[in-house]
Amino acid sequence: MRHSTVADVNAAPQTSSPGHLDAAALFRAHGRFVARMLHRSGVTASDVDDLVQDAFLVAHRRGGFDTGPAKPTTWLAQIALRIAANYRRRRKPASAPLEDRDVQGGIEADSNAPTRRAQDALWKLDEGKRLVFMLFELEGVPCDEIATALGIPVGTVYSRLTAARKAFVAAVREETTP
Amino acid sequence: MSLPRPARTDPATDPSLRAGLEALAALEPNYDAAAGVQRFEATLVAALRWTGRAKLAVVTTVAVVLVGAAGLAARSSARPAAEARASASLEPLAETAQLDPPTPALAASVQVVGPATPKPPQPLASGVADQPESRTPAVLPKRNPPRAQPEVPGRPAKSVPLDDVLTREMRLLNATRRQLAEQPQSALWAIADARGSSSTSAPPSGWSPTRCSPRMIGWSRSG
Repeated sequence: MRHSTVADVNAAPQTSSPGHLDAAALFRAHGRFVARMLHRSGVTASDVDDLVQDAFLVAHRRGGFDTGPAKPTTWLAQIALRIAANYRRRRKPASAPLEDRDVQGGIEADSNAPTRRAQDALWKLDEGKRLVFMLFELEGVPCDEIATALGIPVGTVYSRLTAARKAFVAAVREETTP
Repeated sequence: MSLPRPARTDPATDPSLRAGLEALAALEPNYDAAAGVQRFEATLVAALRWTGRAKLAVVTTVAVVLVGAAGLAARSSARPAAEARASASLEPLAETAQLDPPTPALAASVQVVGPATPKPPQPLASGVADQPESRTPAVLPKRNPPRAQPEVPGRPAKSVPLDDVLTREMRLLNATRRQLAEQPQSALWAIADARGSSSTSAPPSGWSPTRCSPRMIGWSRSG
């Protein structure tokens, strides 16, 4: 698995201001949120730790987050979903299918088929719809906040959410139908 | 247009959508955020430390390269100066080694004896057989071999370049001939005095100033 290099880390500008959150502060506040986004996107529990590190290294390289009308969670969710997309692309479909059995907290739990189908259906959405769908349906982020964070009109968020729901249902049914 | 409600809380939601969302929402990784923060900060510190070492290595390398370049530049600039000093010290020697230009009379005699333009070497005439060899370059340019010209007895080869000694001897010989034609007696005595090592105070027996041959005074063409 590819991890961020030292050069990636050093490329970040070191700034500190009252309305600025550096990567370490973001990690302390939203580390679990990023881990949850990654895991729900299909990243296995054993890889979540490394990818969380990668996500915050990207945040560090981008110079942290300046507080404003948007919330840092939306920004971090974008980073996390792109890292998850790269993670899925690197995994070979034949050798590394999504885990049927996952280890969580030292307890081996059976990963049921609905979860795998839901994850597969999630990745059949395009990137914009997937982000809106996950933020609104799973994280409870309001539509206007999503619109502000993404820099798009609220109506676009609604339309993307509606289209994402329909596509998700179709994909789940397709996965369910033998 | 009503605001959308989350599908999980909406009773009108499609069951498959609700089931999928419930499955995804149930995924909660057991992630240790504190350990992750420590690892992240350690990574940043290590990266900064590595950056410091890299900067130090870069600075050291640049300094070494600059010092080396300066040394090479100083050496290359000192070499022309040494060569200039050496050439300046050789200039007086070169000036002293220069030969005096020939006098106009000598130059005229040289022009008479030898041509200005060098020609391929020809067989020496019998009269100048003992003359020193002309200085020819060791490697001659590739040319067609010159044709052998018939030897003319008694005629000096005009193509033989003459050096200063031979020119001086020819001049002395011409002067002696002129003096001999004008004042034969005094000229013979002068020659005898000049060749004092071989001549005696008294002229040889059978010698007559009017019938004098060069052989009698010890003169030969070889000089």
